[in-house]
Amino acid sequence: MLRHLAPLIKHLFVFFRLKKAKLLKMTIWQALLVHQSATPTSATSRESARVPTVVIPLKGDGVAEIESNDQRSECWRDFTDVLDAGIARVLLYGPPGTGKTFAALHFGVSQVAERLVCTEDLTTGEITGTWMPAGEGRWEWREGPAIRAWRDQAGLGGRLVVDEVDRASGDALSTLLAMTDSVESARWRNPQSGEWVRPGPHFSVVMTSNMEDLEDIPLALRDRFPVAIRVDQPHPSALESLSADLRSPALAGSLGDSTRRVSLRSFHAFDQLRHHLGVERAARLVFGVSRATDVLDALAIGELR
Amino acid sequence: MSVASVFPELVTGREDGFGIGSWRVESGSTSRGGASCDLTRRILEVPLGFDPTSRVVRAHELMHVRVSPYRSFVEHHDVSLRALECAEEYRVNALLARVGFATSLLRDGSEKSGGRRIAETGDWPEAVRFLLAVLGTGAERDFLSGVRLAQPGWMSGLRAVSKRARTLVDGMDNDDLSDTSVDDGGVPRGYANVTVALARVLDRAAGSQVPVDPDALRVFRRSLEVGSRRAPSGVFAPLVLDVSGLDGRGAPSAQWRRDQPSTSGVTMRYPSRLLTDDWQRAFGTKRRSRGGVVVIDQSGSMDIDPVQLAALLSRAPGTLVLGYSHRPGDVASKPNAWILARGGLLARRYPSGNVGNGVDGPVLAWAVARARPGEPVVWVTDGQVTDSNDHPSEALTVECANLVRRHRIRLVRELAGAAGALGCHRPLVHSDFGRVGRKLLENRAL
Repeated sequence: MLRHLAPLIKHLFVFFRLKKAKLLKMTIWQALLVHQSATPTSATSRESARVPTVVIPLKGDGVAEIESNDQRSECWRDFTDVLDAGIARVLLYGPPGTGKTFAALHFGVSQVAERLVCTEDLTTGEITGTWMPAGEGRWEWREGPAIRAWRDQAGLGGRLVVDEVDRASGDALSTLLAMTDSVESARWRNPQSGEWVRPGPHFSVVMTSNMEDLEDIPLALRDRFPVAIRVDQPHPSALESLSADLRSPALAGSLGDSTRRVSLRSFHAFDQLRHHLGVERAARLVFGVSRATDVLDALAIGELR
Repeated sequence: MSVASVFPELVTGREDGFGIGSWRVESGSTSRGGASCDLTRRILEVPLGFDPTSRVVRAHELMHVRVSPYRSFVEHHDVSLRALECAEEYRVNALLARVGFATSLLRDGSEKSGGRRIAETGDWPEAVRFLLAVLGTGAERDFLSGVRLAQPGWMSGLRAVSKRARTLVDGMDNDDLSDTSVDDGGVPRGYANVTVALARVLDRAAGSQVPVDPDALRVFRRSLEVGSRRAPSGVFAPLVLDVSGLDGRGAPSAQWRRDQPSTSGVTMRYPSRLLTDDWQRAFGTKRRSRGGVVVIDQSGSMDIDPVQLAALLSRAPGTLVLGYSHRPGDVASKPNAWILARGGLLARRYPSGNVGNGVDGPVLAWAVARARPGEPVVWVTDGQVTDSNDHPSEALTVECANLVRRHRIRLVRELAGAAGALGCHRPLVHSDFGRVGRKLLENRAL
């Protein structure tokens, strides 16, 4: 019994630790997303790396409901249509704070997706797996998120989300290209058991990048991902947890140039803080001293209050 | 150097179909004309300083982003573009003040000299319009004091305009003022109900004479009310001539022969007449084409009778016929004169009148300029002369009477009499031609 509860207790512990550390800026669902990104390379068991279905204040039971076509902007309509059509390799790019990762993790997937966040220090071991000490001088092989995604859903294959792919080093990028190859071409051998592993037939990959221009993304990667969608607006579902007066500005906030962009995360934090600290102090803390006045001016003029 | 930010993308809430999108922000200044908002191309030019004035100027342009129409509706309304611009400025400034911005900071120090310059050049229309553009801002007082230096007599009229505008806007709440939902014509309601209404007030005031005495001021104030009669303007409307009635070839009028038989000449054009004509008029001579310019006052409900017009052209085929009538208060948006016949061709359509005279003087001057040497000008009129707002005017009547006397313009009451007047060489009696007739008699007596 205790063995079964241990992962859950650990999970809650990590969650509250993160929540405390970033209390002022994060909502519960954001904290869970951060937690999830931290788990794949941790030394926990395979089960513990799986975060329970993300609790977000949306409709449905864990998987975000996709709204009717009329309510979505074109980029989101493209994304869901592409997934519905069975395309298993999609690249989402565009300004930060629009919910690309959120969508990649939740849309068109029934179980928890595996997630990789690329940095320059990302190693191939963090993609495919590493040897880990198992006590008593023994070592065992721990499979990485890519292989786990191959095997997900009892071998049918799950979703692998690769964030900020443009930051991956050359070695990591090569491994990622191999792992995201077609189901027919990709295969990998487990060094411990010698088992040959192939991706399941339902294995899908969604990569995200904050790059503004598709031309900046490596050609080899673009070749693997024939469908690239520029996401420049938050998904309407992600706005629903905001107060009504902030939804429209938040929808448009990511559209300005990089110096004027206000991300959805900022709006969530501002919305939460203003009820406790007042509007002006919340704006100073979230948007910065130099921008707070102008953000508030724009919001006041939009609302005419 | 760090600069302030501006967030036009965050200004939402419009209901007129102006979708969200990315803006280009350019650095501007706090001086007049140094900031702008181009809704069509989504370009915002604003000062990027951290000082309070820059902040209010930015807020002013953001308010345009919030409420101003993103396409022009000038053609939808009978108001001038300049009046619409100034009225929209006032609506934006009024909203800005209501949201809590310090509109008293909206001044750049040039308003006093600007007001004085406008007053010195006697540009009353611009004084009225500019006043509305700065109403409620820190520039209002400076502008008025500049005007007062050169034209103290304008102050009561300007105060009447500002009072009327304030009354109109103060009677509306924020939702009405800023309403961007569109009406049946596709025009945002706030713009249609406030900006256009204010622009109408402006055009009325700008098109009126400066009220100098209490009676004139009373009439002027009354004229600013909705549905009231406009105050006298004291000037003719500019001539807006429509020649489209003769597009293509026009309809041929009764043909006339250019040659006529004669008993003497150079070319024997009709030899058969030696046998058939008792006078043996076998030579052909060029017939002098009878013509001239006939100007027809189409004010009131007077329509052109095609039969009478055809009869005129059959007797005087070369006549240039012009109809005119001005819509009171119109600001050159609608033609107030049109060609009815020219070079033997009749117009394919005869516009009906626009109620008022309004343009008598410019039409007569145009007719005199178009008449060939020796050709007469005939004026079909009841002898009344009115200004652009259709008020009788002593000065304008004298102006027309002088034109009549100087250029020997022949006055007739009916179109049927025009042909006779073209061929008449006797001086015409003017006593029964209303005010113009009386002025002509007074001139003669002098």
